[in-house]
Amino acid sequence: MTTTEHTAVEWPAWEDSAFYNQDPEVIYASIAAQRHAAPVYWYEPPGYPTGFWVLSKYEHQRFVASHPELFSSQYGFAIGDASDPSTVMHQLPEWAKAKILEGGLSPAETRRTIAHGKLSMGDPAFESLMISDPPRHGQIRNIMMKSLRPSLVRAQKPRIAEITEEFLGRIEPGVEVDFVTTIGQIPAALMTELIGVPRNMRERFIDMASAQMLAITINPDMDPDEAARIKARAAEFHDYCGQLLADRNAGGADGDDLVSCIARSEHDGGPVPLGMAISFIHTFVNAGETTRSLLSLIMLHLAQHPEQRRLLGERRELISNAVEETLRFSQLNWSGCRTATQDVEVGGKLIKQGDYIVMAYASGNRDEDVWERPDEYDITRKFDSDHQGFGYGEHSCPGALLARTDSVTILEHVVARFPDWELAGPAVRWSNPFIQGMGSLPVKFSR
Amino acid sequence: MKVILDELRCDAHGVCVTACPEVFALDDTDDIVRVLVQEPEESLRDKLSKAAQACPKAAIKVED
Ligand code: SF4
Repeated sequence: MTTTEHTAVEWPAWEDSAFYNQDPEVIYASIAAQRHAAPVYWYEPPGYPTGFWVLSKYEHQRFVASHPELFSSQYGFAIGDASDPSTVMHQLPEWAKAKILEGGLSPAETRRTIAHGKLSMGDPAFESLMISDPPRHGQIRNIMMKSLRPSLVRAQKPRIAEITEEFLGRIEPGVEVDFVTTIGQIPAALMTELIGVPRNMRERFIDMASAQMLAITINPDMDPDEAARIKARAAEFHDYCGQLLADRNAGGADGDDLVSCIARSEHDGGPVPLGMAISFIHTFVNAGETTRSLLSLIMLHLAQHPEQRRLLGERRELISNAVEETLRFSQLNWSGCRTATQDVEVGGKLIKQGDYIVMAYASGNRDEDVWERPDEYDITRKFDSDHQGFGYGEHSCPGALLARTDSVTILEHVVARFPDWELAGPAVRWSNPFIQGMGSLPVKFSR
Repeated sequence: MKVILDELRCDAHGVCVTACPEVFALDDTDDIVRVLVQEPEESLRDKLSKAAQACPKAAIKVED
């Protein structure tokens, strides 16, 4: 009898949370197998009304993301948006349900209704960057970017340093702490200041906002009670944001905080609609959460690679590169989606008008045509091309600079004070098909 | 060879500055990158196309 070491690697179940909760090595091996054999692949998930294209090559992802006229963002932004509507109805507001039940929607329109419905927190006037195309996308984005101007973001450094020192002051070396709920809170705390949330509302605000984060993740496996609870908290978040904006309007909005910038801005010749304002606030909150995950992953990887941790302690100028390498190595949002506006060929396959396309960023970040030794974590890696960590083109992450500035500044202070640490227990990662993060990371800093 | 910067797209990440400091500059108070030379020398073609490729916003175009 002959045995072979190579059992066939199973291809990814792109729509299934369970796939993403496996050991990262298993996930990446599976993703690589598909990339090698079928870089542009028509995948039909069980239970889904139609399939979608999975684009695994960096080059194809870049092509799609830089041609919004060929690949629209209006018809869904996550894999779950393509679910069979009957399985996600309980996560949608009444108006979206009614629209779907009326019938007659194309698959693309159905996806749009699901995406729009879940983002909206019940508000049908809600307009989001994530599901808009140029030129509208640019108009919306510019309002938000007023409070994310690079000069403003860079001017945050002293404040980031101050708040980091405050948090670090509470850490005792030699004692186990959960990084996620201690230092990991810094980005969200900073974010509430940038949004303009009063200090005494900080914790509550973060709490409501994370419910909102969960609410936008359409997931047929979600328990209905849990879904109802999340929906209620998300609605609370919606009301509180409305209150914040009203207060600022009444009090003369002259600050650089997001809510003041929104209050001063115009859209379509009138004030910025609440639904849009909330989508901006939501984007900020999102950035705080993902930066927490990013920082946690850096701490995890460096704990697992002691020689690189030591190197970082000696060469602090590598911190920013370590942030980039972590973004490449551990993609936080697994993929991004588009819908073809016309028939178009990609990698020798004919993509038909209306087809849904999944850019598998995690795969692009390990594409051997772009990266040498793609499966190695190396904080000294040279980046001739940008990784897919923040996406590419119009829809690339508007908070990228802030996330980078936050992470680098926070890490500089952490490493300066505590150059050495180790894992004190198992790291807990969570993931759904859209995004992953860290639930817990017990660490011990050395004395 | 001409550098065309889409100012609406540029978010002043500065990746282009690292790739091609001869053409792009950015300091902490800038909200978009500054193009130092509109029509750079042929010898910069390589560096420039690297910059264009690296820009996460696809904000740089190089035209002949
Ligand atoms: S890399 Fe692109 S977005 Fe960044 S500064 Fe240069 S042109 Fe602007």
